[in-house]
Amino acid sequence: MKKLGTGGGKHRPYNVPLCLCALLLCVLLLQIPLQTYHYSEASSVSVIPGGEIISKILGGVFSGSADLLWLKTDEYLHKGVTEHSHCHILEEAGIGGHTQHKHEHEHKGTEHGHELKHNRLDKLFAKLEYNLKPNITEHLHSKREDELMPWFKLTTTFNPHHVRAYAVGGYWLAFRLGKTEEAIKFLKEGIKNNPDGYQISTQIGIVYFSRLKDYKKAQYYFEKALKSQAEMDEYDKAGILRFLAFSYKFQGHTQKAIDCYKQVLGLFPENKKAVQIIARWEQEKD
Amino acid sequence: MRAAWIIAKNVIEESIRKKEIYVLFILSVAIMAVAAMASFFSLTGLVKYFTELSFLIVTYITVIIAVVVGARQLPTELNSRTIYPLMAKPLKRSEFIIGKWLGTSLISIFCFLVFEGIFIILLLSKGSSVSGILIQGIFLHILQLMLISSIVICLSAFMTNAANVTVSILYFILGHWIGKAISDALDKCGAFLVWMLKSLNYIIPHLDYFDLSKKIVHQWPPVPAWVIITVTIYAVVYISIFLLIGTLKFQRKQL
Repeated sequence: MKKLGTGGGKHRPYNVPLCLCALLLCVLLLQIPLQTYHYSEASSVSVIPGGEIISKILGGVFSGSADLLWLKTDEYLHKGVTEHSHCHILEEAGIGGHTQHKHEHEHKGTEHGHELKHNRLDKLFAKLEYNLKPNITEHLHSKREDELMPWFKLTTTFNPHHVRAYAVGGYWLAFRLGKTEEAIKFLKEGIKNNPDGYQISTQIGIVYFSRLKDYKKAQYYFEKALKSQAEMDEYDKAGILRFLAFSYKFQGHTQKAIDCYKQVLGLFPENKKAVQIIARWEQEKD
Repeated sequence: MRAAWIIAKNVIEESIRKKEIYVLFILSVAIMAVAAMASFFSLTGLVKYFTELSFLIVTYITVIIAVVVGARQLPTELNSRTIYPLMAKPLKRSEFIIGKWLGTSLISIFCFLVFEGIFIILLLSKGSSVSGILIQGIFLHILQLMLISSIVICLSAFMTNAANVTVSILYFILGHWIGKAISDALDKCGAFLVWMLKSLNYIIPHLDYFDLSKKIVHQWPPVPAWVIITVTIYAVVYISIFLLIGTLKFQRKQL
């Protein structure tokens, strides 16, 4: 008598492993065109040394973690106070604070046909929360600004395409902590990982311009920023053009500097300061 | 209470015999050591980053210890039938539950104090000092461990080991956000839902009241004494409630 569920065929012990091997081979062969299509050169930057495959599998996790780490910089800057918790706690405790938020809250409450009345127990819990969490927005003491730096580094380690973390981190290193060499190293790493990140090129240009007075290198990075394919608003563009103009001027290339400022004027025709600077440089040239 | 103490001692001895605490100990010390030695842009004396990471690791590891040790107490006794000779002795079921809770709490508190000791040594080596807020934070976390132990022991009278571990860990993770989540939801709800959510807000213990980590990291001054006293009373009330529920359920079990 046949066993139920055996299909009535001959039992071949090697069928299952053979099928599995065939399927795995198919998957491996499919991987080659899929990988070539899916991962561009820019996205193949490894998050951890030698961990390219892991970073591809866990890409979303790393990127999300990087965003959380980026928020930490803001939290550290405000001594542990996050904007949301600050408003909410103050409002709940009825202790000063954000009136606009309070009005919105009241409006929403009445919209649903009821008002959120706070009894004594509510107020006690609110006061507890107020005392247990950081509650007064205060900036980090200037002597402890170095405490922000691990979060910039960790953000870019988890997401090497986090352009803002590179640019802002580079600024803090160079201008707040006086670590110019470290800032340049960090920003160069950012440019390597984000060739089109004009904010990083601009920042490194500013470091060369303001800290090292190396106008030739500054010029190179400002020009690189202007060549970026990334979307750039006119304020950013005008800012870079101004720095580029001064880089030319300090190297003695007054005509090039004037041309740059004319581009600024093209973006903002009402800019009186640009008109004055162009006029002054034209005079100097003559 | 002597009987409860004997039960508690058994829990501690059994936990010391098992290997999981040692694995967690090595793991957390390794993470703390790496965090202490990590260098960023050749900056020295970075205390806040190290405090944040260490306190987070120590908090999670000790809660895991409390949950893992507490969750297996009743199911293991029932499955291995070791509970029958115990119940034949002059031992009240309430004493049995209290003993299990006490043992679980003590082992997790002991681990926490060892970890904190290592953390404080590393902190002092970085040139920092032990602040008042850190002492308060340690005290509140001890209360939190006792509360979580009571929840786990209570749940172990209702569910299996695996289910208990899952529910308790999930509750610990979400427990810190409950107050804020409910508060945010109040704006978007109708009157009945507001009433429901507010009731839920009062019923569920808020674990965020035991968390001073942000104030510790950012070196805030100590919180007022009335806050610590209120949170202590809050913890004692909830611990009593959970132990009572656990005892009542356990008393109804046919053994």
